Amino acid sequence: MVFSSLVFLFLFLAIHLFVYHMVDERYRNVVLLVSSLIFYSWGGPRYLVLLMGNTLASWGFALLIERSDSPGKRKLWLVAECVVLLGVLGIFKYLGFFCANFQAIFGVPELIPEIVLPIGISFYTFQLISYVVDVYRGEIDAQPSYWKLLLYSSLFHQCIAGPIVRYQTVAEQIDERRPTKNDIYYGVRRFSIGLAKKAVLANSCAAVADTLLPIGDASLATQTTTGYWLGMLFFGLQIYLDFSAYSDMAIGMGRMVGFRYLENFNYPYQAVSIQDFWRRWHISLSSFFRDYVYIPLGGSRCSKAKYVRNIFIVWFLTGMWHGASWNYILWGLYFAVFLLLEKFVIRGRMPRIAGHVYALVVVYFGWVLFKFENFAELGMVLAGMFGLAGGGFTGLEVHTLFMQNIFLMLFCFIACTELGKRLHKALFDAAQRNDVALTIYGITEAITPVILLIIAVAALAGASYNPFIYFQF
Amino acid sequence: MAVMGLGCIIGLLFFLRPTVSEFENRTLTTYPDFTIGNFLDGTYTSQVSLWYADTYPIREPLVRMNFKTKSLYGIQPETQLIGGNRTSDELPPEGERTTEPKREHSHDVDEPDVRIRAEEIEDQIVNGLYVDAAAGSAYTLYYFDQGATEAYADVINDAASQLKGKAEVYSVLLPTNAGILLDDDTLAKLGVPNQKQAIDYFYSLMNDDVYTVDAFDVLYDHRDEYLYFHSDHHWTQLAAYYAYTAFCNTKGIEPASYDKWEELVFEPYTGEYASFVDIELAPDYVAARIPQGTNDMEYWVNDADDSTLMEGNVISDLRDADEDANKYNCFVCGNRPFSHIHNPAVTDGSSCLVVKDSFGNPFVSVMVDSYEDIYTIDFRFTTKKLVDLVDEYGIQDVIFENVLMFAGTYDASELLSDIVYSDESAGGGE
Repeated sequence: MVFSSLVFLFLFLAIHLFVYHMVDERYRNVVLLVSSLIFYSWGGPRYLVLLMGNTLASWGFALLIERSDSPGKRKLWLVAECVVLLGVLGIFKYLGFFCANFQAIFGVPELIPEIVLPIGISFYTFQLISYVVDVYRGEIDAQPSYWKLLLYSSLFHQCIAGPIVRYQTVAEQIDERRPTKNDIYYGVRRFSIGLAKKAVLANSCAAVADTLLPIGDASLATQTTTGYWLGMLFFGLQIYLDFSAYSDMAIGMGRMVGFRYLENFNYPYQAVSIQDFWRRWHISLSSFFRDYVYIPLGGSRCSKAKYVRNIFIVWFLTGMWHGASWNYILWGLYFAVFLLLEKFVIRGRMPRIAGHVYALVVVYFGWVLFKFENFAELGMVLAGMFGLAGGGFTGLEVHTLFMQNIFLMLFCFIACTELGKRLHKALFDAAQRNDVALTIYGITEAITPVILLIIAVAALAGASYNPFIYFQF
Repeated sequence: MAVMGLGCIIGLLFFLRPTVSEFENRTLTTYPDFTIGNFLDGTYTSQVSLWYADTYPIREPLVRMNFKTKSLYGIQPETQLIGGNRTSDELPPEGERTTEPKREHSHDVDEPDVRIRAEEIEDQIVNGLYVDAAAGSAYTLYYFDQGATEAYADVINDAASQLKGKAEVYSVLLPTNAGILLDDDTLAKLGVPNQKQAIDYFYSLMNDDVYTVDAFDVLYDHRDEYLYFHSDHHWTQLAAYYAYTAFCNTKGIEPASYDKWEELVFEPYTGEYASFVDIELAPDYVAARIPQGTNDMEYWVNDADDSTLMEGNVISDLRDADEDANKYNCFVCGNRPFSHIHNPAVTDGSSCLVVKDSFGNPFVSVMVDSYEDIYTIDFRFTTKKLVDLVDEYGIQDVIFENVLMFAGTYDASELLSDIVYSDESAGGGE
């Protein structure tokens, strides 16, 4: 089930919230858990076993770690946790990839297994690993109740599309949370913004990007130069609006029931460097790799050679996390190169404006690497962008799409900045001092979620096109 | 939360759930059948989600609202090309092929597959749509595909071989509105071929057992008349009549007189382009003349189930239909998998089977006076086999009618294969 669907909005979420707020506080976790398991099973219940099994392993290993006195045993259980969870992830996500590469080099195996990627496995695997590592480090207590840990790993707000919520962020809230009316209002508002961002903006950008850059279709080769550039521009908008919208909805739904998840995006397209970009983009993933890979490897407090090694390892893994394909790994290493460039060559000496342009250009071309798993297509698009396009420089279709979506594009540019947030704050500040502003603020606060919901619902009703890019991760 | 609650209640009003969308001119998704297998692999719940959204009680106004919202996304240029990132293969000299005729074909009619492919064929409508705001019209472009063309000709040839000695086989290939109404310069700029040449090439690949009907020239000669709708890819009954005269010319019979038939006019008519383009399209109407022989017919909603047999009219009177109703459905009760018209005014035992797409609907309506029995199958939806039908009903003429944008796709030849080749011949060797 996806958040941006009528069945989720009007059937699942509406009934869930109604029941959740109707039952006694003691049973609210039960409602959340049952709802989450139904939600997860909606795409096919067979992978629920995997989620429950991984959670069972993590629950057991964490308790064993906590109850072990010897550091050796604690480490053993931690290693066991990593072997089990990363092993499962490896089989379901990377086995086909490894076999294909092995076959390309050695000619065996003859058959490459085609394994369906269980939904959300990359997200909940990392959540559970972070939980056990944090127990190992003594930063949190192990959760004695399996069902509560299962609630954490399966919580439908973030289970299948992130953000990667650390257990320590929600440990206390699992046992006790009392959402205020303000929390509920904020949650509904944030969810509505996310839903409209996804259903209206991201899906519309996706439609343009996919029309201009049809992956796997012969017409990709006949696109024009301007078509490639415009298509990639809309893809860049789509991927941010899509993913951040899901985080908005997750944060909003969590807030409605008293969970406070950390922000996952901070206007990444306002970045002034690549390092800055990655502090703003998919923050929960970046911080996971920082805390559980980069720093344990020595971080930056080591020799230059080790630092370079650490950076390449982290970004190799970051790329690989995004997909079992070389283009994602290349995408990760591409950023590693720019991060090293910034560290050793640029060293913060680039003017802010130039840094912003530089970051956007690097990220833009990064998305080209990210979008095309097939290297022949990737090469074709890159060549096409620089004048070797099969369809010539430009064409009527590109002109039509550009003109028909020009206001959408401009609006999306604005939506990628914090202008809306600043305007909202300015109105809020004015409302503290001025009655007219207070009235305007009150009205806009009351009607904004309603209008956004209606627009989003209309968009969902009219669109069969509703993919979510990050489901594959 | 109130909005969600209200939405939830509306969603539970099952008796208000629509089954068709007038705006999108399509039948909406039906509730899926439950099996353990489709439940476990998630197909069932996924289809339930689709059904829930597709038949949501107030979906139609929401879809219209969304369409209006999208008009705010930008500016509509005077000339537009929608879904036109395609290239046309070079038209080879007539009769020249790049591949040997295929001898292996798919045979089994797999209902879900057929439906999916039928939908893919329908997508051709917007897979190359040229919009001219000044003319208030949109035009469906045709892109020549060498392989698909050869595959189509192969199926027709094989059908003719199978039916040799039993029935005569005719091929009626029709141009799209772009082929008739746009000049050669515009077509060349858009990178699409002259449709007359494309049709001639199709015909050049057909063997001597197939009678080919030159409908292009007669349509082109009358291009100043109301042959195509401005807001839809379909043609008018008048255009179908001209194509029918071309057919009669090939067959060597006298066409019925169009002037003698009673005319009904249904207006306004808004076709499918209106749901894809956001310009003011010129107003349309549907003029339908009732053949003299009969206006009665029978059709099967599902031709694998005899209990779905219904009675209807060759020309349904839609003068009182809703403004939004798809008035093109006035012809032969719309796209039906199988139908039959018995004309009591003709008693010579003549019969034909029209294998058609949606362009065939007005075409069949104007053929009524020329045969005692007209059987029709829609190649996208039928489960019938061609040879079985010819044998069972003693059919004398089999007429394959296809518009170029469908005929020139692999989907068309695959769907036709399901009709032409018998299950026993699976494995090749026709």
